[in-house]
Amino acid sequence: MANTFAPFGFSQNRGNGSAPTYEQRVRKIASDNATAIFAGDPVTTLSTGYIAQSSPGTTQIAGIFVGCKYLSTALQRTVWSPFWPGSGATGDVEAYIVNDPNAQFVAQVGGSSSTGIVFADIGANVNFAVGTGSTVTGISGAYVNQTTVNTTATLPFRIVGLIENPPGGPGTDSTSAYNWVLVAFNNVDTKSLTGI
Amino acid sequence: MAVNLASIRDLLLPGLRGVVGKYDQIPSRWDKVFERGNSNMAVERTASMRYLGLAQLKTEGGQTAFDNNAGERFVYNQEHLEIALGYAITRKAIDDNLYKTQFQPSNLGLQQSFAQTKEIYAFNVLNTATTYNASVGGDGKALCATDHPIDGTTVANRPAVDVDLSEATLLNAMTTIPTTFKDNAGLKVFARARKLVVPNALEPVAIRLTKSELRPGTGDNDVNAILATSGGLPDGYVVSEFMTSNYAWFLLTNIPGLLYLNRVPFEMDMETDFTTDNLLVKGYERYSFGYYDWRSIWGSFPTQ
Repeated sequence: MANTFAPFGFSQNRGNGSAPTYEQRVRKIASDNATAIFAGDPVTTLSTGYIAQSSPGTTQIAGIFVGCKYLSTALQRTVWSPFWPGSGATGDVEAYIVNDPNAQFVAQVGGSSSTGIVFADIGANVNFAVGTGSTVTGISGAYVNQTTVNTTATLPFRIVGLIENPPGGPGTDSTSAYNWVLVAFNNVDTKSLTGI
Repeated sequence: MAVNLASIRDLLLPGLRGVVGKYDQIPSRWDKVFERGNSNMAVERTASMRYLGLAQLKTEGGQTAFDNNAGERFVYNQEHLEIALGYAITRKAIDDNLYKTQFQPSNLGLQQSFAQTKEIYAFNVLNTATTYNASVGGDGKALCATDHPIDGTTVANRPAVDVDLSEATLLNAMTTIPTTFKDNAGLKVFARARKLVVPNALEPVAIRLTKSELRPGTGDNDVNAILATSGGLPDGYVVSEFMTSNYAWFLLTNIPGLLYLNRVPFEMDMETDFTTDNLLVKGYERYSFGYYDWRSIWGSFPTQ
């Protein structure tokens, strides 16, 4: 059954080597950061100490954004939100990210309408695409970019498995495009020896 | 201008055989389509949640997969309407009217006006079911759409190509609803068509489809599968004069989602103005029709 392309960012699914606690770490987003960040988006540490939505590339990422809270300028109260809309906060935004170096994530493959990520790609590194997040649900539109599968050491993610069960479940057709895969951090702050 | 003597000029003299103009009203249909509730707020909000997705295969000695994506997905807003209507009638028009039984100054039909207005607002939800209403919010789609978003995919409660009501299209909808309707996590839900909603123009078709024991429109003795497929249509069909399309048709499912909320029940009041002696009569009501789950309905919108 063909997979439907409806990317949802990076969804933490399991750990590796030790039981994951699903810890979320607190970081900050500058209130004047006009770029929206959605739950499931990769984020990058800036030289200012804040985080921002990552751009696909070979720069190490800080982790996966999973929500935030901030003092809404319009509502004059604290707002909890699955996404940072890019404006509307008084003061810094308290952001929550997953940066466990052993975390593994389910994500959808995109970038090609004909080819998904296949078994032979397990072990390779891969980049992501930001896609379009939903301002209704706050869920990310990020996906794993099939066209970037490579051995490059600085790519942000490592392909560690394919999602193929239960049969007929969403994204389980690994013979066609838009399948779901399991990825781990590859170039992330908590694993990289390079500082910001 | 109040209702004055000129407005009732022939009611001032004896000899009229009759006074007509008031008719039986159309029985209410909205209560056969919408569930009913009460409200004590300006806006009622219903949150649509995402529960857990499918369980995952575990390998020996491997870790259990976790699904931590449960939580709120959509919020549907329902803001109440204020409905009001009044009229003024002069004292002379009251005093000199010889036919008060037929043309009652204190009751010119406010209740009928309000009742029909309510029908119009109710079926306006269906008449505009293909147009997204931003004030409702929800999943960002019209009530009936081919691409309601859920986690990982989209679900339709409208055919990709709108189809006329017929045995084949009705059965197709009745078999599509149970197999394609899913919750926000992607799990199939128990959804079954329960009631057909049609305009008057389609009532003959609805009768032939739902009342025939044998297969509609054929000369053979096949049973009428509509009566039993996925439980049939146990709640029959509803016809409304207030559906604006002669071709659109709907199936209501067993899943609640179309909602009437009563904020202030109908009330009527009157007073005599001190300076003019005019009688002022008014009615007031506050309610809303809306929806909070597209899984409650299937709609097709052919244009001819």
